[in-house]
Amino acid sequence: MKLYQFSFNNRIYRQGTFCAAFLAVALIVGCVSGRQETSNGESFIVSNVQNTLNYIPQDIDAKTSSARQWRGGDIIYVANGYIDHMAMIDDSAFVADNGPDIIDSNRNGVIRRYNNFDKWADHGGWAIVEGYYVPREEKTDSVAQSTINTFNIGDVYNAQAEINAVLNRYKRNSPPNTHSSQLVRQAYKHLYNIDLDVDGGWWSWPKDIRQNPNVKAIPGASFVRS
Amino acid sequence: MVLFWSIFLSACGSGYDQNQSENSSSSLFSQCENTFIVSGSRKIYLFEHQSESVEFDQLAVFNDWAPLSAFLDCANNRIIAPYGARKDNRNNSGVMIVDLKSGIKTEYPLDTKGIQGIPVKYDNGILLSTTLLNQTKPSKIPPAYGYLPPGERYMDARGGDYRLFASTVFFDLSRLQFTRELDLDLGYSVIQDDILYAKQRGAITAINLQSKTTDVLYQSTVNSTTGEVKNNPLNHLSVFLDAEYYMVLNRQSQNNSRGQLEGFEDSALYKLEKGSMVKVTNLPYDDAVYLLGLDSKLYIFTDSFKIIEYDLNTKKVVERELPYSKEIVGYSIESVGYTHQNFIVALDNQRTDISSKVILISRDFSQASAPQVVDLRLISVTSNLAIDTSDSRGVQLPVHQSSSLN
Repeated sequence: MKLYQFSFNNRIYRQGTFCAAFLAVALIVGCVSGRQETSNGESFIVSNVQNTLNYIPQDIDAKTSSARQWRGGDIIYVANGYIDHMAMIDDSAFVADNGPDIIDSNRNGVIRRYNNFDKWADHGGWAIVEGYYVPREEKTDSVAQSTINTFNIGDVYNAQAEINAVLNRYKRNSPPNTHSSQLVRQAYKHLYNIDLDVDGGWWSWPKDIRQNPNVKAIPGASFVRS
Repeated sequence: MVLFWSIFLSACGSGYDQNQSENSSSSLFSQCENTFIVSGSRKIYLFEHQSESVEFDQLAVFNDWAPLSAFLDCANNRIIAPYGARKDNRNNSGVMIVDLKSGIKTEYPLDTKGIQGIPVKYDNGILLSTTLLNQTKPSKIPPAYGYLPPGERYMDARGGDYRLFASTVFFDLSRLQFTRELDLDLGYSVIQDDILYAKQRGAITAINLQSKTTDVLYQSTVNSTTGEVKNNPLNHLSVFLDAEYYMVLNRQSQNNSRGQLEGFEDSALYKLEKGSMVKVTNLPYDDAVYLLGLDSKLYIFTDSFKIIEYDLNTKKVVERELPYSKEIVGYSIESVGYTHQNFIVALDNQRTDISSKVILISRDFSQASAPQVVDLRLISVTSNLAIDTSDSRGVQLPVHQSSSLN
């Protein structure tokens, strides 16, 4: 085995002597630009950074002109060529946590919380990942806006309880691949009084929500995983 | 597609490398302390490096769908591989055991509860975090370890309050079954002297597993007037070292709704002291991506392939360059493990058609091995000293323009 020969110079630093390095680093900090692609008539940016949700998109949020970050309630649409699936972002990670969680419902209609997007996507075999958000400010009047809820998992859990109560009452079985999108739809009704289903039917499939014109693609948050 | 799956299933079934046949009558490895496992999506590799050397050999490779920080149980000549899913039933999860003598893989499923995170060795078994949310009424069923994380209290339609948590399960490696379920919602955690130091939904806690008592070492700011927790997410690198908690912030760290960082500096090392994060030192780079702690030293690996060593005793900072830094443009540091003699650095490539690499670097930084190609994504490195080393992969940086796809 050919070994690497170390030839670097060990530089010794002490606290408080990094000013020059800081200035240099400050100049280096840059942004990642994505490639514009079009899919299904929707324009979104394919990030150079694949396979990670923890990457914070550096593209400009059209409304706020600031770096767009994952926010509670953001919607993730995923597919693997056979089935699709939907989840939400829970950004209520506190200081001790490392990033947003993924909230979804499994095929039994039970809520899960994943703390690692990559593992979640890998375990599901999700190849296509698309991030969406709902510009709620534009959809609420001033009164509602002042009392708008913030995303929290408790309300999502309560939304799932409402779904279960209705299903139990009418003895109706859900198609397994509607559980995840039903949860997203009901959570949005519960939290924000918004019906995300594009046709307002009884069942909501992931594509029903994705095709809602009020559901907007998050720049830089859509990509294809290996 | 049928052909593809046939080939894939065939590969999964055989699973065992040709090395197995040459070593089936004894252990594959010579010295346990020199072994390490590199695992991730689709595969588990078992390696051993030579004594006092960075040269290493691949002993076995197994196909697997989604192992979580697989590790070698030297005494019993087996690999323990918690898994989060199986391809035919993606709700499945559990623990798989690979007998190295026979090559037989046995699965112990945990139904649909889901497993995540890094396994923690404890009392001849492992603690594993789960994904399924459970509900308890705090007033009726307080947590066994006496701690209700702030912000984890919710109200149902009838006005009753409840708690949501994803429980922790214990897999007994002697009885080969899941034997306990704890109402703990753990993130990154380590055990030292029977104390479980853990990130626990908004707090850093020290849990005495014998007395079932919990000390809250740190928690998010609580609004005293309403009792509500200030929602204050903060991406950071973290590590427990000798029962102390350290964190490093990089240029992606932010903790307010405008994407800015408040109350902290983004190129600095912090230590948890008496309930507060206290700055230890500034760092020469703001692109830290991995933090490792051992032997009273912290090692900070950067996206620009620097290794910053901080000695907690002398306060000295030494900066080094990662070997092959000029040749590995386009790669990113995915995971770092260590044995008594070497660091094990796993590098992933953003291009999906380029394989990942593993490089061994001697702990005195005098040698580095040639890169070894591994067919992995989402890589974990485990050794006899540590099952994985941190949850640092929660913080990743954008790819530099120079390494963009073309």
